[in-house]
Amino acid sequence: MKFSRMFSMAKKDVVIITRSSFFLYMVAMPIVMSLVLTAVLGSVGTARPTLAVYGEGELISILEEEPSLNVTIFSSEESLREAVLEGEYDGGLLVSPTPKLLISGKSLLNERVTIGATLANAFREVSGKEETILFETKVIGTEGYPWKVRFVPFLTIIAVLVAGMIISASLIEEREKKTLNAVLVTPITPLEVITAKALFGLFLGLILGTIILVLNGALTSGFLLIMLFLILGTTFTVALGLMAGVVMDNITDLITRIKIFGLILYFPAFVIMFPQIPQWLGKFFPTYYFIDPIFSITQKGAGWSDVWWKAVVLLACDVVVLALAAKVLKKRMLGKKIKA
Amino acid sequence: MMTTDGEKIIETENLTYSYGDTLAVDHISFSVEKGEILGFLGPNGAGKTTTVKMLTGQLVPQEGWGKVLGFDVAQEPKKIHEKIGVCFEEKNLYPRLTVKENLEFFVNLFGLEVDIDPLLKRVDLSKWVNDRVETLSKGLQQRVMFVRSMINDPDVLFLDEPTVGLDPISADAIRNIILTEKKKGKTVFLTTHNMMEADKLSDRVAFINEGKIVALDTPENLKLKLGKRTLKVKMRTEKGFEEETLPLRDPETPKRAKELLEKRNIATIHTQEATLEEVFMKLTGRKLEQ
Ligand SMILES: Nc1ncnc2c1ncn2[C@@H]1O[C@H](COP(=O)(O)OP(=O)(O)OP(=O)(O)O)[C@@H](O)[C@H]1O
Ligand SMILES: [Mg+2]
Repeated sequence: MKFSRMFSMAKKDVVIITRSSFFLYMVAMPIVMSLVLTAVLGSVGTARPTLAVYGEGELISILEEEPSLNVTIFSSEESLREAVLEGEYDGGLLVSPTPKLLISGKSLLNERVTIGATLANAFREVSGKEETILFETKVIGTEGYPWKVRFVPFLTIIAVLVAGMIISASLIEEREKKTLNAVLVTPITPLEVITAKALFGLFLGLILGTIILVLNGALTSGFLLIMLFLILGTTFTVALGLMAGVVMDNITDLITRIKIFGLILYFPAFVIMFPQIPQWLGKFFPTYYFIDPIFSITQKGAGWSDVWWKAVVLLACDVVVLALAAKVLKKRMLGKKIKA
Repeated sequence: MMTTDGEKIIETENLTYSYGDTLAVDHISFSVEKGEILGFLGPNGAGKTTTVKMLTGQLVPQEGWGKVLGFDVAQEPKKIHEKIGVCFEEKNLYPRLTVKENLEFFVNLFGLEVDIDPLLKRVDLSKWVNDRVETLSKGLQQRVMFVRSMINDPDVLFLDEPTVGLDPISADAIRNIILTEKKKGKTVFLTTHNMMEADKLSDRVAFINEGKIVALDTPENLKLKLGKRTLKVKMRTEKGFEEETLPLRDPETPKRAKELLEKRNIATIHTQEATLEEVFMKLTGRKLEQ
């Protein structure tokens, strides 16, 4: 294995991608979709959490001054409950007799945390004590995520799928145009060619996945854990892409197949997008073990202890497709017959 | 290997390949020495490209063996690839890269640092160096193909119809480069169906037909042994011209020639060389070029 040769190969692929409308379209697609969704559905995570308040006292004026919250004063307990239940506010605070916090089931983890922390501070300020403040908290209304958030898994899958597709399209093109033959009569080995393409795909998936999560305001916590799942998820699509790249004869063929097989990859994203679908159905699809953890980490604050077993399942899926890909590649490209 | 003289750079024995039921190359055995240009001449579908593919490690021989620079083509292709240049029959450049980017990419694959400008100048490509290959004419692309095969200053050149589609000046430029490389001690395996080219460049010519080598010798020997040299006599008559062809080796010819010279009004008289084309026809009953 010689790194410099693989680097030349990848460098050349980058230049080619920037000059092909097909490749550019593929890379741009998830980014444009994210931007359009943000424009249509509003941004997530950037706006201040909204808090409805009913009651009297010093606390109210402190909260009204609070820059991290958007506070609205209500005139009755009933109207406040109604508004929080409907999801119009992320939370509602009933000041007396004992403080009670109502959290909307539709609010996001980030917003819940901000409200909780801000309230705790405000209470401390009023009482002048440094002790931990306890107040009753209740989640009301159905738990659910706004549309914007429910789209994130779908977009993340597209991001890693694009990485796999670009790799397979690039391999198909090299076989179609027979440039691969020219490359393979130089010192670079078939294994180096494949490794270069695979690493490039992995890199692309990681970058694109990160961009998508950032654009959707989802990369707020658990960065390293998310990177791990992005790597494992991209490995899956890149292995599929390499296989498709040596099996399929042209890019039209590839696109047709993706329309069919893509559904299998997208399905877990649809399950998250539509809570009406029984959620357990997603578990039968490999990509579930990629997006469900990312969703849990970014939206529910899940940590390693919650998602480790999903990483193991995803790793197992990777091992299976990689083994399959190795077999196909060996037969088609790395073995005795160099078929291009 | 002890001597440079007679060192076998390419060697095959019973080299065979079939695509399914099509027997493309049928038990061919030959060798090419250092500094030699071997012309591989045959009609479409004769098996020339398949032979090149086996010798350059793109196809694994199904029977027999081949060696290039002492390395077995099936066992150690990568050792061979370091030191050879291949000019493919089909144009396989990266269309979206420029001429320079295409060539530099291959320079990098060889891990070399080569100034490509002198090479480009030799085939008159300097003007197009920053143009994308997809915008070049076929002839220009063919010249880039040839330059690419030379990029690593190879010891052995495999050229699969390198002058196809070129104008006479460009074709001659490339032929001259091939001859210069030969003088530098490079070995060349040249396939072509241009018999003039084979005749002019090759030290030896192999005729290949239906996967078999039907003759292998110097162009002169092939023509001498198998071709017919003739004397063509053109005479003026009342109605116009009349022509008579006399085989040179026929014992009757001197007598008949003298007769004609004395009795007839001769317009022109000249000897006609046998061509490789005729030799090939005689051997196979087929034409080289369709
Ligand atoms: N990939 C392939 N699959 C099936 N048959 C093939 C393939 N490549 C070549 N052949 C067949 O093998 C035989 C030899 O082909 P080859 O390309 O070696 O001939 P060639 O001498 O190079 O011809 P040309 O002068 O047209 O380039 C032909 O009958 C051809 O049809
Ligand atoms: Mg050919």
